[in-house]
Amino acid sequence: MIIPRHSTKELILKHDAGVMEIRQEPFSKLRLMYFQNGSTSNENSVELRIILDEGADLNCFFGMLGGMASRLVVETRLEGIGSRVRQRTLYFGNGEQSFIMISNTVLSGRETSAEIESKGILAGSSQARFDGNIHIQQTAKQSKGRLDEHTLLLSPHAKMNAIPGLKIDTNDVKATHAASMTRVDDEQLFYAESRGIEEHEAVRLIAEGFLAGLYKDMPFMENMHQLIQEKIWQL
Amino acid sequence: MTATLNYIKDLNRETLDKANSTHYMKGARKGLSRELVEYISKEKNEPRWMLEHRLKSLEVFLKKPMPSFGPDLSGLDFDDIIYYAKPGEVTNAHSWDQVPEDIKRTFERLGIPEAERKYLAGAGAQYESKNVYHRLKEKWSKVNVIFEDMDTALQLYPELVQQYFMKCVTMHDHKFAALHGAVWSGGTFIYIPAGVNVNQPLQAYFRMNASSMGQFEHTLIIVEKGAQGNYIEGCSAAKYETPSIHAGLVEIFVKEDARFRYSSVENWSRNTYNLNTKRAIVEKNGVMEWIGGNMGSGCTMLYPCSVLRGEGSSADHLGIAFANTNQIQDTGAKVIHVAPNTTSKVVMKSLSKNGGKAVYRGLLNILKGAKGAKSQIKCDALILDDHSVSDTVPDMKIAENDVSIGHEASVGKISEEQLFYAMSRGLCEDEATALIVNGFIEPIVKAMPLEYAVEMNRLIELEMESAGAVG
Repeated sequence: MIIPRHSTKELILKHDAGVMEIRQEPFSKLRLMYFQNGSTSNENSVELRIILDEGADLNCFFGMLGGMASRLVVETRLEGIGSRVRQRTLYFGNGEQSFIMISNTVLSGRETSAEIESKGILAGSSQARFDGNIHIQQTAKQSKGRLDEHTLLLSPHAKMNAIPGLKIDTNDVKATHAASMTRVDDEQLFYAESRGIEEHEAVRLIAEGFLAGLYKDMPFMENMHQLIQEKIWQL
Repeated sequence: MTATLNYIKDLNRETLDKANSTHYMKGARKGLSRELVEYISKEKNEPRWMLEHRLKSLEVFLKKPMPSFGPDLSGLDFDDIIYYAKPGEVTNAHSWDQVPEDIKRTFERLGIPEAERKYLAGAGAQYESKNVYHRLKEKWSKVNVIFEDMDTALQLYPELVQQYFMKCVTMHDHKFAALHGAVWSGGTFIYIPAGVNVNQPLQAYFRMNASSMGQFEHTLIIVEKGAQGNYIEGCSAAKYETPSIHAGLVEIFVKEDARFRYSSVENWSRNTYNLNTKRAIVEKNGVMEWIGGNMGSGCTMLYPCSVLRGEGSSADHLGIAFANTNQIQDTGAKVIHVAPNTTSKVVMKSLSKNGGKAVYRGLLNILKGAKGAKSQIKCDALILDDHSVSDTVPDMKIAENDVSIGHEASVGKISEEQLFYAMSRGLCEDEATALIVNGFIEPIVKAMPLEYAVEMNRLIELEMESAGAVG
C-alpha cells in the first residue's frame, strides 16, 4: 500500500490483516489502528512493514486484547529526513492468553524521531513477550529514539519477558529506554480501602488508570475504553 | 603511596603491552589434547578426581557449540594456543626477594609491591600459569583465613576444594567454562571462616606474557556464615601478533549473613579474547558486590552473575567498559532472583570511541516464588564520536507478580552545554571532554580502592589520549 505524497490517511486493521507493506511518501500522514479483539480461542499473526519517506508522519496504535496466541510484528524504517513515528501498544492478557510482540524501528534518515511505547496488564496465567528494538544508524544524525515498556502484573501466575534493546551507531543522537514491571502497590490499595473502596474494585480502578494514559488522546478513545472495561470486569 | 602514584603517572600503554623475556619450560606447546590435560594434571600432582574432572570437561568442551550471540569469535584458533606454561622454576615464593628479577620488574611496573606494602593483606600475582608471589599477613592466617594460589590450595585442602570446585559454574554451563575445566591453572583460593571480618582487601594480579598464551586461572572464594571480605584483582597481558585467550572462572559462595566485595580491573592487551565467567551464589541475607572495569582486550564477553538463592539476599553490580578502536566490550550483569525478598541493583556505564563497540547485555530473571523481589537497573552509554557504537540488550524475565522492577538506559554524546560551560571556565575542548568523561564514570570509580581508582582514571585518560583527544 502506498500513502501518496502530502496526503492524510486513517487505517483500521483487523486481526486477519496478515502481512502488510506500507510506504509513506514524502510528507504523508498516516494514522493506523489495529485491534486484536477476537475470540480467546484464536491464534493470529499480523506483520507490518512500514517505510517512511522525507517528512512522513506515522501515528499507530495496537490494541492486543483478544486471541489465544497472538503475534504482532511491526517493522518501521525511517528513511526520509525528518520522518517520525509514534507507536503505542496496549496488551491485556487474562486466562491462558499469550502475546508475542516484536517491534523493530530503524532510523537511517537525518533528524528522525521514534517514540515507541508499550503498556500492558497480565492477569490469570497469561504471558507476554515484548521484544523492542530501536536501531539508530550512523546516517541518522540528530535523531531521537525513546523506548518505554511497562507492565502491571496482577497474578503470581502471569509471566512477562521484556527486552528493550537499543543499537546506536553514532553519537549525535539521543536515545533512552525505560522499563518497569510492577504489581498493584500496597499503598495504593490501602489508600483506596481507607476510602471505603473494596480491594477488588480498587484493583480495577488501578488497572484502568494504568492504561488510560496510553490512549486518552486517540480519536476512538470511547471504543477502546469500552473494550478495556470489558476486560477489567472479567478480572 | 608516593611511589605508587609516580608509577601510575609514568604508566602508559606501552608499559603494559611490553613483554618480558622469560624462559619457559620446554613442555609448553600449542594445541589441546587429552595428553595435554593429563600432562597438566600430572605436572601439578593433582588428586584423581581433579584429573577426571578435567577429562570430562574436555569432552564437554569438544561437544559444546560456540556461543550463539555476541561478538564474532572466528579469529580464535583453538589449535594455536598454548594452554599451559610456567615461567622458570619459581613457585609460591613467600618473600619478595626470592622472586626472579625479570618477573619482579613486571610486577614493579604494575605497582604491586608498593600497593601491597601500603594496603594489602597479601598479594598473589599470577604470571602466566603459575603463582609466583603470594603472601598473607600473619594476622589473617591466625584466624584461619586461607589465601592461597589455587594449585597450592588443591594440595593443602583437597576436601574443601572438591566440595566447591566448579559447583557454582559447572562445565556444562557453556563452551568456555568447559575449556576452563579442562585446562585451568593457577588462580586464587580464599576461605574466610564464619564470623571473621577481613577488613583489608586481598589482592592478586594476573598477567599473560607469552604469545598465543592462554590464561585460565580459577578463583574460588568461600565466605562462611557472617564473615566479610574484599578481593581485588587486576589483569593485563603483553601484546603479540597472535591472539591470546583468557577464559578464567570466578566462583564465589556467600553464605548466610556474609558479605563480599569483588573488584577487578581488566586491561588485557588488544589481541586478547577475554571470555571470562564470574558467578556468585548468595545465601540468606548475604550481600554480594561486584565492581568491574573493562578497558583492554580486543573482544570481551563478561557478564558477572549473582544467584540470589537465600531469602533477603542482595546483589550490587557496578561496571565501566571502554571500547576503543577495534574493540568490542560485550559486558553486562546477570541477576537471578530465586528466593523471596531479594534485591538487586545494577549500574553500568560505557564509553565508546574511534569505532569501538560497547554492548550492555543483561539478564534479570525473577523465578516463580521470588516474592517481594526488587531490582533496579541503570545503564548509560556515552558515544564520543560519530562512528562508534553502543548497544543495549537487557533481557527481563519475570514469573512472579509481587515484584518491583525498574530499568533505565540512556545513550548519547557529551552535551554541548556541559562542554561550553567547562570551556567558558578556561579549559580547552580536550580537557573539558576529559573532565566530563571523568564525571560520567565517577560513581563507579569512587567505589574502587584508591590505587585502583587512580589507575582506572589514568587508564581511561590513556584511552582518550591514544586517539589524540586529550592534549
